[in-house]
Amino acid sequence: MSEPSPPFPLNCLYLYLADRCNLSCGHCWISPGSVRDPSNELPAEILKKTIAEAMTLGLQSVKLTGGEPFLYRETRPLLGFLAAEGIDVIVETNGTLLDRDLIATLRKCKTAQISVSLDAGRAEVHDKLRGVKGCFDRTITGLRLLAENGLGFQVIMTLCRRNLGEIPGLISLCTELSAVSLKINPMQPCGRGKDRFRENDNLDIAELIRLYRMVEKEWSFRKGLEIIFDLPAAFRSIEDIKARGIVECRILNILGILANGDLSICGIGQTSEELRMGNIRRHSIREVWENDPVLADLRAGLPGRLQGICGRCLFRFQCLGSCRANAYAVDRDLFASYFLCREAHEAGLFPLSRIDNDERPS
Amino acid sequence: MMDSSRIFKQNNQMVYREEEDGAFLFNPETGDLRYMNRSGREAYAMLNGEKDFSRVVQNMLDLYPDADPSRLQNDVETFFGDLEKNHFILPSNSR
Repeated sequence: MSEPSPPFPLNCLYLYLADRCNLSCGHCWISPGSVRDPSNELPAEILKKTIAEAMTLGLQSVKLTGGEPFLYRETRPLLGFLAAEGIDVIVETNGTLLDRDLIATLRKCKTAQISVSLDAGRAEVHDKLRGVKGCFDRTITGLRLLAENGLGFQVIMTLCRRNLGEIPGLISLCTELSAVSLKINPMQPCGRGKDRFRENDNLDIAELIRLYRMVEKEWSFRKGLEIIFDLPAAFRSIEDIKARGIVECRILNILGILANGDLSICGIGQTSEELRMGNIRRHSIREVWENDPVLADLRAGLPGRLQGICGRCLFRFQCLGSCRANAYAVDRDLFASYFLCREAHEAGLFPLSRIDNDERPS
Repeated sequence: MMDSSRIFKQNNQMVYREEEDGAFLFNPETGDLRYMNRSGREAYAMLNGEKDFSRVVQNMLDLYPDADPSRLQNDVETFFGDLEKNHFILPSNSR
């Protein structure tokens, strides 16, 4: 007889393999360093041991992210291990370091998703946003290599005022490159993004809602390219939700492992040290997953303790407040309402049909 | 296959909300949600505790005369089956 599933399976590990990056994006929510000092990086052997232990807790997938994950020196042995274990691999990269050798290694893995950041259809705009001249061309080269080798990929655009006009051009480029999807993420007020918000480079919620509707109406599927505009469920149409479902905050089923081995609820531990919970060099991941008080608090408190409009949203059980790391970064509170939902509610733009008025018709 | 004489009614303990492109049901006890497109909304609206399943299907065919009758019946059956299983609708004789 098989053992019963744990009540909160650890479905996915987010591996922040490198705490540095070869780009310098003005909107980065984590603000990695640029110094190439890998001395503090984890040996792949330690990661492999932890991943093997996490498999006993329900692990199905691993996300490789960073900083730029392919700066990690032991990427290839790690990918080899994941391939051998049959674990789904998700990659978030800027695509500039993709080469034939790395792609051959990736092809041996069960790649569930490869997401590559690209903020514009024109080099001069992308390079300026990403802070490194020539990075657009390197990313495009990487994307072409992925396509040539039959690896599907998603392009992720971080949307701000500076690249608002780039959406049509980027859609055309993604179609030309045979991307599977284009995901448009509004810029977040965390990390370096805080400064960009102060400069009013972000779009407000009214603009985002208008843009979402325009994308859904005019561009949502174009020549096989799926376009996903990432807004909280409260603002999405029923048709969209029926087609794609609600992408909830995954905080109850993930753990982040930072580049030095520290554990955190996700990448937020890189900027908020108080949300770190041990280190895999010294602690068992099972011990942390089963006993850490922050995790216990989240499990007990979501969605019941969500505050403000998130606590009254009819989608709170699925959405879990969109992104709890963002709530913490903005309000230093894991149960605070999500900033966009709060902004919408204060502006009278939160859909009334999606607010729980506690009515119980008799 | 659903018994054509079955009669359902809406569960008034659920929160029902209509929107421009459809509607959704929310179970305040469990947080469960079900989304409906416009035709689902029309079928759900017919569950008044009086119309039996065959009558609902016939009414839907009247609204959508171009629909394939057996496919429409299957769709309605699947839809009502899921709603009943998750307590969003109830047999008409239940309290």
